[in-house]
Amino acid sequence: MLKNEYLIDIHDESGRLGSALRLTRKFALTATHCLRGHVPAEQGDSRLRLPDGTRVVVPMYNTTSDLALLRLVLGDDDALLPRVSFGTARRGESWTATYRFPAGDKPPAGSVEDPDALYRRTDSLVVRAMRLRCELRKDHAPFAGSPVERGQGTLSPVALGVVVEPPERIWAESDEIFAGSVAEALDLFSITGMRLVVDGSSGSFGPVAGEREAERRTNGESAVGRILRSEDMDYFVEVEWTP
Amino acid sequence: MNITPVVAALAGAVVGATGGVVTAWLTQRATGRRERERRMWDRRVETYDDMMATIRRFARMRAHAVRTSRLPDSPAGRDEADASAFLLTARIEIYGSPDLRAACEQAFAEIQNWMKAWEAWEEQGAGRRVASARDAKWLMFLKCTGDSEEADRRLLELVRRDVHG
Repeated sequence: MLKNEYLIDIHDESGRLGSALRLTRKFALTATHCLRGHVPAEQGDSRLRLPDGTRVVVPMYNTTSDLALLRLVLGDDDALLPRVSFGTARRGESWTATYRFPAGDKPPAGSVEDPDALYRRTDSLVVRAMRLRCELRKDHAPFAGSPVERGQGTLSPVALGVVVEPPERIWAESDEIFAGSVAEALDLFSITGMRLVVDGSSGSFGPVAGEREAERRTNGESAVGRILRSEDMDYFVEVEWTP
Repeated sequence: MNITPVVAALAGAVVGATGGVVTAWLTQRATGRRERERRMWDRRVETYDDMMATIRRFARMRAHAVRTSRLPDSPAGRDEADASAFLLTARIEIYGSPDLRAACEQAFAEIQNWMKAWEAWEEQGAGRRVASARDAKWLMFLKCTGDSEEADRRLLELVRRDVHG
């Protein structure tokens, strides 16, 4: 059973693929490229898992931003809220990546170079990300999907986003990495209805709201829904299941 | 000229008979016209019913697409809806007023627009598109659905006015 951890690792049958940041009890954010083609993944055919065997599906992903939304297939009582707040990065502030292994290896850390840098653009979409200066020059590919947290001055962790691939999609030794922000992800996946709620007392964002609605909207198609769709009846009859 | 009672009676009978025939003929003509008008009215209302049912069908598809970003997968379903809209347009041309015909054409044109806008968004591919105001093609789709809703409202208003007077 998941406790209140906000850092999770995603596996398939070959092993660990990358890390992810839990946004709510059942939704998490990671880098699309970490999933190595397991996208989109619905409940019936997903080969993604947490280390404890919990199935992971990918209801939404975007290659331009390299952000993917994960849904953990859990019962309502199978996980606690992640013990993390969310925030937006400020230029010059320190940051650190949340990372579990290998033991003894120092996770990336540094300062925010640009909290809202142009990351990639297509003819219909412009995506922005945090450009982060790193203390150490190295290949940061193993940290893809890892949460990026505010470095200092917080009593409890404040997650800013997740590490994504370089804009040119080539990992190499560098003192710079990019991170997709939580705000950017929720904006791109706004059809889920999930949103950040401002915590007035701290100035950062509290838990992500709208999980129940997001679960309903990303729950994939039921068997009844599939039959209706195959008979072109799905826009006459709408199926709604109350979990 | 002296008109004898017999002649008068005969003349009266002829006039009466002729009047009866004319009256019957006039009555039959009027009845026939009323019957035709009633049949025309019935066909017009039936056409309006079918038209509004088709509009509602597309409106449900539109609302479903906005809420879920998906349309029915089967192109056959969409083609069948398009075909029924085409046949309806022909009936509207016969039974609808000029204003209503124009409003109906506009409503069907807006339906085509939002479906094309959705297809343009969808063709970007699953990994590139997002159902968000950040995606310019999704924004265009939303604008087209708004225009379609407005065209439906105008058409419904005209139908109501035509039916209720």
